[in-house]
Amino acid sequence: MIFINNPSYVFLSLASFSLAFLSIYHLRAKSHTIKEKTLLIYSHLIFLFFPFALFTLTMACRAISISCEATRILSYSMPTSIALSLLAGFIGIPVLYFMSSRTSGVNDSGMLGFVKKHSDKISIRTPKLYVIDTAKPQAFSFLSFMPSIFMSVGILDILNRKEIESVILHELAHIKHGSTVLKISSYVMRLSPFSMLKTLSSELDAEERNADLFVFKTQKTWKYIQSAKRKLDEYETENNSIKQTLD
Amino acid sequence: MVNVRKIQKIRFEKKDLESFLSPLESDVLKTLWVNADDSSKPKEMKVKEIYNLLKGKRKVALTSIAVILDRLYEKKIVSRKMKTGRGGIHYVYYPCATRENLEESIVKNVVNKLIDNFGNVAVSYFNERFSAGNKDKNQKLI
Repeated sequence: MIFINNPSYVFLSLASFSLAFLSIYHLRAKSHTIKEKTLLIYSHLIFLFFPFALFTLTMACRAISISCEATRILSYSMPTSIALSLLAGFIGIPVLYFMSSRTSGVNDSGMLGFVKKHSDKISIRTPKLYVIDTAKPQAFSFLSFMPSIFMSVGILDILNRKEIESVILHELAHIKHGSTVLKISSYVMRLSPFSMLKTLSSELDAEERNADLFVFKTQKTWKYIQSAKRKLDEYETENNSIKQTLD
Repeated sequence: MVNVRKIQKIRFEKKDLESFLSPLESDVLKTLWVNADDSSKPKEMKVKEIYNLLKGKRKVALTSIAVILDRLYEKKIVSRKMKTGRGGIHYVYYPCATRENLEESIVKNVVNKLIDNFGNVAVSYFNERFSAGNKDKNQKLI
């Protein structure tokens, strides 16, 4: 009751909720860049949970019967979850991959030269190239504190030179556009109960298409990126089918 | 002895390697053995090399060979290492044991499991089956 009777707290809370919904509303607009969308995601979360934090810190212990410790834990849990998610996504997971014993740097001068040449063309810091000791074909990139591209030995085994180059170009495009940031942010967004109002799957799909388009513009053909993707799908299908048949 | 604990199924209706491996797994393994036995060829083979040899003999995709080799690696029938060469970074695969050693390990594993599961019944049968009275029958097998 005390909280509701304080006009400034009420005004701040209502304003904060309004801005949270405004952020979600603007997120639906297709014209925003990745940076703008990311900003809107975190703005939404901050504005959404600000009133609860304000209530808990100023009034909760006196206004409701839950113990102060419990309400304090509840109010700190949301910003802590967001902070931990960001830490995990931008630092924790990349560090795990860097430190893994299955990860090693690539020394292939041809591949390194290719990465440097095209990084310079699109004016990004040359990412480090790593190979992961696993047969499962996969490739991904991180932007965090050091741009890096990871490829498994499995993907190098099944793709030819041009297809490998198309995958590298695809990842360079993701680094250039900051797609990783959007992807991690889309997971953090799920902390909001209103995340169903705006899922980011269409934006993430668009990022994939933009990365493929970059490959097409560079290699002047869709052939290699399409055949690379086809082989990755084939591997997945074969692997699942063989597991079901033989196990 | 080869560690064959990961081979859990024996198909008695099939013969030879195909009693515990799929037809494609058998073909891939035989290809590795043929290469290993030929002193003029390198003992280790890449996925693409095995694919190039097999695609002439049967309808198979490169991705299938990659999947099968990974399965054989998980079953510890083949081993692999990363190698950097002219073509870049690849896995090279090689068999963990000769054909004879693998088959011997499979037979020992099956017999041991039968004894573990059926105890005296299995032992009595083996005694009876391989006793002096059945010498002629056993000779025909060898």
